[in-house]
Order: sequence, then C-alpha cells, then structure tokens
Amino acid sequence: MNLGLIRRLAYFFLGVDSAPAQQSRSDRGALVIGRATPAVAEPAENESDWKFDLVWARMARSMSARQYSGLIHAKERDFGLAKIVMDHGGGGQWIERELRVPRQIIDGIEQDVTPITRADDVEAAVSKHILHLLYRGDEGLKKMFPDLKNAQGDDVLKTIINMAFRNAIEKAQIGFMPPHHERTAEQLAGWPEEKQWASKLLTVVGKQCQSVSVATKEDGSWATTRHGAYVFVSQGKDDFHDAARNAYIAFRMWLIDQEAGWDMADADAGLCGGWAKKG
Amino acid sequence: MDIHVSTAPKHLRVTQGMIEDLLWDPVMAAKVIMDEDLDAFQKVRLRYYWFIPDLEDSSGFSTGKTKVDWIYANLRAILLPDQHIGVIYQTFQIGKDTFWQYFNRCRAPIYRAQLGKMSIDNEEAGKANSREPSSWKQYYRNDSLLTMPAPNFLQDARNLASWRINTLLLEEWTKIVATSEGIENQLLGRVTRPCYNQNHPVWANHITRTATAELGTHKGHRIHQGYVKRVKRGDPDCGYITYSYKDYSRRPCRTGKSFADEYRIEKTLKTMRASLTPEKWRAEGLGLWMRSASGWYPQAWIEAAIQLGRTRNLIPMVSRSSEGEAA
Repeated sequence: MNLGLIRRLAYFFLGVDSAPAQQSRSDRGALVIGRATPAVAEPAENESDWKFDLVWARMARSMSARQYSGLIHAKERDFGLAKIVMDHGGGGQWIERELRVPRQIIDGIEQDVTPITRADDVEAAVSKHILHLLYRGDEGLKKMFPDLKNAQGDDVLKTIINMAFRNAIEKAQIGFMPPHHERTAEQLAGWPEEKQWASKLLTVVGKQCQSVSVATKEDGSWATTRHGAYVFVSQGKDDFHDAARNAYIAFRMWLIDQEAGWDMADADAGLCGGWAKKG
Repeated sequence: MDIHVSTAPKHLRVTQGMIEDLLWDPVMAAKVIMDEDLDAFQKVRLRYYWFIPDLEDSSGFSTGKTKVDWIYANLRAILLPDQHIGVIYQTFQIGKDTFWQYFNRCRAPIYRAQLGKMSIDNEEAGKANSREPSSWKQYYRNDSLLTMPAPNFLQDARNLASWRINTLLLEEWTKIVATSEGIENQLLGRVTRPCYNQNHPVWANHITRTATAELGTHKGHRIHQGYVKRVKRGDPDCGYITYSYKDYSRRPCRTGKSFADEYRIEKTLKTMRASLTPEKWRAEGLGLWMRSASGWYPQAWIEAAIQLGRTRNLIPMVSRSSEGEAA
C-alpha cells in the first residue's frame, strides 16, 4: 500500500496497563499502541475491513501518575491517538485525574496541552474526549458489550475483553511484531533507541500471551467464578499482554463509534469511500 | 537414699542451661549437639519448622528436606523432654532407606550421648533403638521417643488408631494423599498427646508436612490451598514455605567446596528439566504449586499473529509520521 495513504488513513490506539508508583514501592506498567489501517477500499465499521497491528510499546517503571500523564500526552501528540483504554484499578483513576491538567511535563519541559478526558465527560468543554477506563460503568464498554449491564463483578469484564482479544487473534486480525532477534544489524542501524525498545517490548507481548492461562477444574474444563467469569492465571508478568489487549479494545470501541455516526473531513471521507459520512 | 547419677559423661550432657538457650535457636542447637552445618536457606527452613506448629514445606527436590526433617525431629526429641514423635513415609521401606540412615551418619558425641533407653531408676535399659517389623523406634535418655511406624494406608492407617504423639512429621505427604485418606482420617487425630504448653509455638504439638509441590489437579492441592487461606487470614500457627535448588549458596561447606557445588548437581537437574513438562518442572524442581490451567491463547495462534506481522513487514513506529512498514 502507498505509504502516504497509510499515514493518512492510519488510526492509533493506546492501551495502558497502569501501575503508577506509590511511595517507595516500585511498580511496572506497560503502554502499547496499535495501528488500524484499511484492509479494503471502502472500510466500514466491520473490523475485518481493517488491519490492526501493534506498532509501539514502552515499559513504565516507577513512574508517578503525573509522569504517566506526561508520557501519554507525549504519545498523543506523536501519534494523534483516536482512543485510549486504561485500567481503572491499579492507579488508572489517578492518572485520569492528571490527564485533565492542561500543563504537562513532556520530555522534561512543562508545556500547555489539550487535556485528555473521558469520552463521556460532558463537563470538559475544551479537551480530547478519547479516554476510556476499564470498568463496568464505562459508557463505551457498555455500548460495546451490552452483556455488561447484567454483570455482577469486574471479573466478568476481564473475561469479556480477554475473549474479544482472543477471538481477534484466532481470526488472525491482529499483526504482532516479528521477534526482535530476527532484525538484522543493518536494519537496526539508525533506529532511535525508542524504536529499538519498542521492537524488543512488542516481542514480549507474544511471549506474555503464551503465559496467560485459565484455571481448570479437575475434569479439565475451565473453572469459573460465582459470576460465571473465567479465572485467569499468568505464569509471570502480563502487563504487556494487558496493554496490547486494551489497545485492541480501544480500536473496537472506536469502530462502534463510527457505526453510531462520526463526521470526518470531506477529504478523509472521500478516501473512506463515503462510509464515514453515512451517519 | 537413692542417688541417681547420669550415665552420660559430664562434657556430653545437654544441661538445663543449654536447653534454655538452644530451645530458641535450633540452628545453634544443630551445630552444638549434632555438629551439623547447614546452608543459609536450610537454617531459615529449620527455624520455620521449629516455630510454626502446622507447616507445609513444598520445596523442590535436592534441597535437603529429609536432612532438615531429621535434625528437626531429633532436636525436638532432645530439647523437649518426654516428646513423642511420629515420622510417616508413604512406604515403610523408603523411610528406612532415607530418613533412618541419618541416625548412623551422625557421629557427634553429644548427640550420640543423648540416645538410650532408660529404666525408671535412670539406668540403661536395653538398646537405644528397636527395629520391629511394624515400626522402628529411637529412644532418648530424656524419655522422648521417635517412632517410624509402617502405616497401612490401604486401610486409611487404621492400625495407628490408638497412637498418641506430640509431633507428626509427614514425609512425601502428597504421595500419601494421592492414594489414601489416612492422613486426614487417622493421622492428624493422633497428634493429641498432652504437652507442656499447647499455646506456645515450640512446646505445642507440631504437624509438619514435606513434599515437592504438585500440579493443581493433584488431590493435595486442596490441602495446600487450605494452608494458603489460613496464612492469608493471618493464622500464626500455620505456614507454608518452599525452596529450590537455586537457593544453595556459594558459602563453603565442610568439604571445602561451596554448598552449591556440593549439592546442586547441575547435570541431573538439566536432564530432569528436559524430561519433565514445564508445569511439572515448576512443581517438582522449583517447588511451586501450580493451579491447573490451560493456555488461553494456543501457541499456533500467536505464531500466526507473528507471521501476519512478518507478512505485513511490520516495524515499530515512534510517531505517526514514522515508517510503520518496511519498504
């Protein structure tokens, strides 16, 4: 595909597995960006009309909520993110509060930014309404997964979103980054450090996916909680898996928003075959 | 007037003063009485054994569980008078071949001087140990008794129904629960012999289970989960610990080599690691209980996703304007 066209029609989605450091405790979080590009000439809200690839990752170690916020704003500026999905627990709510602040420290410099707020936040007039938090009350999640209305526990939400990510992988709708060790020295020469780290960390996504398991009963069937949710267990870290999954969920929520009607610039709408003007 | 004189020479006696000191430091007791040098993690393990009345040790193989068990059982017998200890193996023969051999290995004079069967007037009364078909016994001069019975687990250990002990050491308990309910139905109820202070961490009756960890499908997993729950609730009488061969240190042992060089047999471990499934290795090699689980993403799907990335010539991006596909 023409590179210029990709750049024009690419949409980027950030998934965050948040773990801001509290006091002296050192926590590790992960951020992953996925890119959606059209797979067909006239892409619509059908996810198979799009190619979704994981293209950027970053580890966040011992960062405060404010530092997380600065990093997310920096990436929003770099990629022009269409949506962000972040864990609600694990400090996500503190990062959300920081994201609303119009002065952020980006690359060590305090500067003015457009605040990032929740998609359903009607009070913030001047802001980018692109943030979703992973909890049952999020409007975007409720729209995407109507079954959540009847869910009794957050474990059901985890099951539903993991199931969505699993289905997408099963249907080969998500492109994982080839392992870093397959890159040749010539290929890596000239790559900035951030890009090399992204390559390494995106390799980790695949590895962590392999360590995600579901507890089973003695008869081998999957064990469920009293809410009917699966019991996920991971042999080690699963932060990059969660961040990649969140990025994919952000993409799916964005697709549903398109279905509801979204007005894009005429020039872009023309490239999308008029689909975007349907609403 | 009856004058009772100890038959042990004065320099080999464990005096009341020694008992008062050694009761609070089993590691020092092992050194003083048995001349046993332990690696750092084994010393910690012995202290856990000593101060926690109900303990599960799930350590992996080759971590010296049996040796520490033997030291622990003998120290309780020597330092706590009139202590009756039961040691249970899944088969009598394995107990004879593994546990009992340490009685012959330990040549420390102070330890040897504590063994013996005494009559009511404090005289030597026969052999210090007895090897009957149904049980092997070791007598101590302070009226303590260590018994290793031949339990009939096929009958849920009913032949031990009238037994009363202060300390129960269950070796390879997971192997026992896999075939029998004798531990839960009979043996635990035997640890009811009166003791000096049942609310004290050392004097109280003890139950210690040791065996390598197992997979979540194993019958013992439910029992292990019981320990985990009690520990989470903050029960001070209960604990579970685990170590692996990786815990051996570079400290020199008595042979001059380091503990790791002496006891960590790398080639065998490598062979075992290669022959066991990853889950089994984590359980038996590293001593980690594994909840039974199956992979959420089959390996083939992940490989297909990576292959898709290769097909698309994916390369990382650092901004929207950077190249995301190789030219």
